[in-house]
Amino acid sequence: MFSDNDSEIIEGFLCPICRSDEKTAEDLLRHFEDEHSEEKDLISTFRDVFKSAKKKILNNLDEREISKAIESSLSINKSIIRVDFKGPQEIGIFKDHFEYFKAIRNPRLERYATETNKLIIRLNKLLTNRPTDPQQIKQHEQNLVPWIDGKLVKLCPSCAKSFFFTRRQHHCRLCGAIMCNECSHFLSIDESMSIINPSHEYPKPDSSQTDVIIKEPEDTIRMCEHCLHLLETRKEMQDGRLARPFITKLYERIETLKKEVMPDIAMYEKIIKSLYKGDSVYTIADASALRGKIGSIAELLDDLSKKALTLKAQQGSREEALHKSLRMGVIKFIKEYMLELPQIPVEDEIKKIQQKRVMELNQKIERDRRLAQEAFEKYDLCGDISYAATSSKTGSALRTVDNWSGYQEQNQTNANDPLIIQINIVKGYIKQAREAMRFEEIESLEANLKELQHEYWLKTQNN
Amino acid sequence: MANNQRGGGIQRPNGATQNKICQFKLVLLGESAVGKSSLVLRFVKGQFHEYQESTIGAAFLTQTVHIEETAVKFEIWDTAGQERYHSLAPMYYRGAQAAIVVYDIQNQDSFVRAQTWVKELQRQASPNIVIALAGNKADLAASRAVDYEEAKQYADENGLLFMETSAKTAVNVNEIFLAIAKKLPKNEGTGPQQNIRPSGNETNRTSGNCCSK
Ligand SMILES: Nc1nc2c(ncn2[C@@H]2O[C@H](COP(=O)(O)OP(=O)(O)OP(=O)(O)O)[C@@H](O)[C@H]2O)c(=O)[nH]1
Ligand SMILES: [Mg+2]
Ligand SMILES: [Zn+2]
Ligand SMILES: [Zn+2]
Ligand SMILES: [Zn+2]
Repeated sequence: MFSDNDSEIIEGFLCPICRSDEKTAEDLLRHFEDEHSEEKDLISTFRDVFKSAKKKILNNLDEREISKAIESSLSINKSIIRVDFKGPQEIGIFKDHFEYFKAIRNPRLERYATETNKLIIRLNKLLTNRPTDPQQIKQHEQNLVPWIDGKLVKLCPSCAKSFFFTRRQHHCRLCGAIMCNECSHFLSIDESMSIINPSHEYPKPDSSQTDVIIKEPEDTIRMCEHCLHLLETRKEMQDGRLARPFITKLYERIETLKKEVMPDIAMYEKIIKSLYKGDSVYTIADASALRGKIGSIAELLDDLSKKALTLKAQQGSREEALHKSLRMGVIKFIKEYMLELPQIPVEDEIKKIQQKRVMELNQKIERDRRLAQEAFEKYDLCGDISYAATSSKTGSALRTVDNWSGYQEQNQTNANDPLIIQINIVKGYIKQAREAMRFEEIESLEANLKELQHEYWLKTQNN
Repeated sequence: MANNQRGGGIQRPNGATQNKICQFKLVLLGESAVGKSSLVLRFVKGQFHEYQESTIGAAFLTQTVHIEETAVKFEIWDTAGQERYHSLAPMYYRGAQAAIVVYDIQNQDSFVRAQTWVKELQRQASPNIVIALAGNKADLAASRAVDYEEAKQYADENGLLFMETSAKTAVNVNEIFLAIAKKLPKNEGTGPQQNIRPSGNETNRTSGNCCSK
C-alpha cells in the first residue's frame, strides 16, 4: 500500500514554495516576504522557470559571502580565534580550523620525533655488540655518546643539589648529560630491546617492580629523566597502536555482525511479504533458510556479548559498566530486530493466496475483455473481433507464465531454441543464487525469466 | 487492497494504467521532542531513531499511499517544534490541506500546546483543512499524563481525527496518515482535468491545490 521511498530528506530553513534553503530564520522570512507574499496561482506556473535561475544567483551570492567570511576569519586566525556564543548556534557558514591546528601541531611533533629518533638510534648502537665486562661497557658507551665534562657542572640539573664525595656525578648514556645518582633512571636491556624492536619478547616484570632501581650496569642503561620520558612516550604510543584491549575486538566483531545481518533481516521481511502477496519469486524454503541464518547470527551475537560479562573488572568501575552496556546493547539489538521476525507462513496458506491471486487476475482480465467487447459492440465495431481474440490469448498467457513447466513439456522438441537455452541458463542461475542465499539476485533473475518466458510464448503464438 | 497495485509485473490487456494521482500538502505541528520527525520517519522510511535530532527550520519529505485506485502523494512539511521557530510555522501551514498536531502523552504541557496549535490552524489555515491530533509515544503509556478519553473528547468536539500513536513501535502511524488520506477530497473525475494525472508523469509539480476545491 505504501510506495518504497528512498528519496532524500531535506532539512533546514526551507522555503515552503521554492524549497531553497535560506540558512537562517530571518533570511527565510525575508525571502518569503519578498518572493512569495503576493503569490498568485498565475505566478506559480511561471515560477519553476525562474526558480533555477534565481537559485544560481543565490548560490553565487552565498559563495561570495562565505569566501569573505573565510578571509576575515583567516586574518583573525593569526592572533586569536574568537567565537561568539550568542544564543544557540545557527547552521550556516562554518570554518574548518583543522589546517591551522595541524600547522601548529606538526613542528612540535617533528621536534619530538627527531629527538626521539636520535635517541633510538643511539640506543640501538649501545645495544649492538655490547661488551659484557663493565669496564669495556663504559668505554663502548663513551665511544658512542660524548659525555659532558664533569668540571663544568657544579649542581645536578634535576635536583639542584651540589655534587660532593657522596653525591657523585653520573652520565646519561643517551644524551651524555650529567645528573646525580638519585636522579638517574635505569632501563633494563630487555626493555631497551623492546623499544628498538617492538616484537622483542621478554618476561615482563610485573608493574610494581618498575620503580625498583636495578643498578647492575651490565643489564641496565642509565639515563636522565628527559631521555626516559621521550622513550616512554614513544613506547606508549606504539603499544596503544599495537595492543587493543579484548573488549574492543569483541565490540568490533559484534558491530560487523550487526551490520552484516541487517540486510538479511530486511530481505527476510521482503520474502515473507512477497509470499503473502502470492508472488512466486521466493519459496517458503528460502524464508526458512534465511531465518536459520539470522538465527545462528543471533546466537553468535548472544555468545559474544556474554563473553564481555566474563571479562575481569572491578565492581562498580566504569569498565564493568562498559561490559554490561555491551551485553545490554546486544540484547536490545536482538530483541528489536531479530526476535520479532515474522513467522514463516504455512504452505497451504500460501498456496491459497497464490491461487486466489491467479483467480483474481483472470477475473479481472475477463472483466476487461467484456468491457472492451461491450465497447466494440456499442460503437458498432463488432466486425473486428481480433481484439477480443488477443485478449483471451492474454488470459492464457498469464496462466502459462505461472505454470511454465507444464507448458514446456509440450515443446520439448524445441530444445535448440536459443530462447529455451537462455531460459534454462537463467533457471540454473536461480538455483545457484538460491543455494548461496543471494536473494536479491533471485528477484531480478526471476523477473528476467518471466520476460524470457513471455517472449517465448509470444513467439509460439505467432507461429 | 494493495494486492494488485504492483502494476509492473502484471500486464493488462489494454495497456492502460488506472491510477490517478492526488497530491496533498501536509504539515506537522507540535511542541519540540513530542516525536513529529519520528512519526514522519516511521511513515516515510519505516525507521526509528532513539536519538532523533531536534529539527532545525523544517524538513521536507514525500510519501505516496494507495487508496483503491488512487495514489495519494503526501508532501510533508515537518516543522521544528522549538519555540524560537514558531514564527516560521504559518509559512508551512499556509495552503496545507492537512495537518497533524502532535503531543506526547507523557506531557500535559505538550497537550495544551497542541490545543493552541489547533486553534491557530482553525483561525489561520485553509478553511477546509483536515486536522488530525496524534497522542504520540503510546508505547510509554505507563508514564501517561494525558488521558485518552480527555483527548478523544477534545478531538470530537473540534472535529479532529484522533489516534494515539507510537513512532517507536509503529502503532497507528500508517493508520493516521491513511485516515487523513481517506478524509481528503479526491473529486474523482469531477475536478479540473489537470488534477488527475496518469502515474509516471509527475514532472509538473504543483505545490498546492490538487484535488481540493
Ligand atoms: N518511546 C518513544 N520515543 C519516541 C517516540 N517518538 C519519538 N520518540 C523520541 O522522542 C525524541 C524526540 O523525537 P523527535 O521526533 O525528534 O521530536 P520532534 O517533535 O521532531 O522535535 P523537534 O524537531 O525539536 O520539534 C527522540 O529521542 C525520539 O527517539 C515514540 O513513539 N516512543
Ligand atoms: Mg523534529
Ligand atoms: Zn521561495
Ligand atoms: Zn639529582
Ligand atoms: Zn639524557
